[in-house]
Amino acid sequence: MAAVEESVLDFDDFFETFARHVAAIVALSTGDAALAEDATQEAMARAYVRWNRVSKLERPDLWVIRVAANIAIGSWRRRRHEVGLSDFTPSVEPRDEIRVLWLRWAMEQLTPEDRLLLILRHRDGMSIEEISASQEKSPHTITAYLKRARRRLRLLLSEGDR
Amino acid sequence: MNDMQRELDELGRRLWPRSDALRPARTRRGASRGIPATRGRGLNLFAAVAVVAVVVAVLAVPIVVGRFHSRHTTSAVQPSAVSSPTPTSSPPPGGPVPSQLWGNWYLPGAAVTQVTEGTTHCPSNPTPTNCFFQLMLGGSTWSISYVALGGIVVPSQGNVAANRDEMDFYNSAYCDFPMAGGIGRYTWRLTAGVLYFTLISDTCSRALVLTNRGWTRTLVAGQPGG
Repeated sequence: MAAVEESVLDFDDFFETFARHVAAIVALSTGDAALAEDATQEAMARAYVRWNRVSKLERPDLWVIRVAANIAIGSWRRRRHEVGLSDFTPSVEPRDEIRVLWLRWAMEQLTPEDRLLLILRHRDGMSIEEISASQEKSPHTITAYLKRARRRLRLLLSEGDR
Repeated sequence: MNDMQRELDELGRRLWPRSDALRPARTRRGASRGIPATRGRGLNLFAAVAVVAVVVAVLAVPIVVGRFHSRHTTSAVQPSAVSSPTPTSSPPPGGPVPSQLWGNWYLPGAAVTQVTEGTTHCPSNPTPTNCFFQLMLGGSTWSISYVALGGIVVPSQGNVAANRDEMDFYNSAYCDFPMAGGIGRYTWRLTAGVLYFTLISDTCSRALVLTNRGWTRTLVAGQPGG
């Protein structure tokens, strides 16, 4: 059983199709559009260097999302420690476009990792196994993170009802 | 397309009206010194243009269509019954392609052999790795690449809009109606991981390839659709 050996997906086509979507997911996860822009640029540059391998993946976009999210969330965490913010406080004031979606999807009080997982789960209807593979984390870890995110959501929603 | 996908698309467009804002300098067109535009075979520009011309011609030549249909009388592609796309200056209604369809899809080797029979591009014993078609679907773009002995070419590309189970292909420079002049309309379904297109109307030769068989995520001999 031979898998495809040749890569024919053009990087420019890929970039035009997915760049804004990757950046939007990272921006929505971290609340920081500038950080998302930098992280997407870096992730796309890494994909470009490894394009012969990345383009052969079933979902190259998920590879770029994972890399961009790791870069952005790592940077977000470092900044949070420097400024002494809580887990949930954005390190910059989110743009209105982001805040609107946070409010609509009750994501404002979640961590960037939780937001990312919820987006992946609900954007594509991805299974735990698919998220696990795309994020290179165990299914057990992904399940635990999603449960935590949903628990926080329920808590926030119930507080909102009071 | 669910609400979240739609909202993410809109967010991306609002925050980055020009996607070039996200492009690293080293990946800009023309800045890719050392990395060929078409990967894996080192095709030069002239060879690529020549192969594109031949492949497009082969796909469009009626004799190939006739041969194809004589062997596939049950195929959904019936040019005599295909209505002409209505010339239009605006894109068809609809949104981005559902994200579960994004990425690469492959047309198995057996199907490729039949479609490209008579050309000199496939090896005499084509395998899934030396002669195949690849369909790349993005949010609003598509391309069909053809891989054979001569190298890798992209004979067809353009934009796509999805509306429920209908997918409309347009803006293809290689079809009879460049830009938004013609729209190829298909319904799509995903069954057991195989993507099938059924023709509604399209005079572009991409219909031969799109509706040939099921498209699969990996190119493996003997899989469904092959």
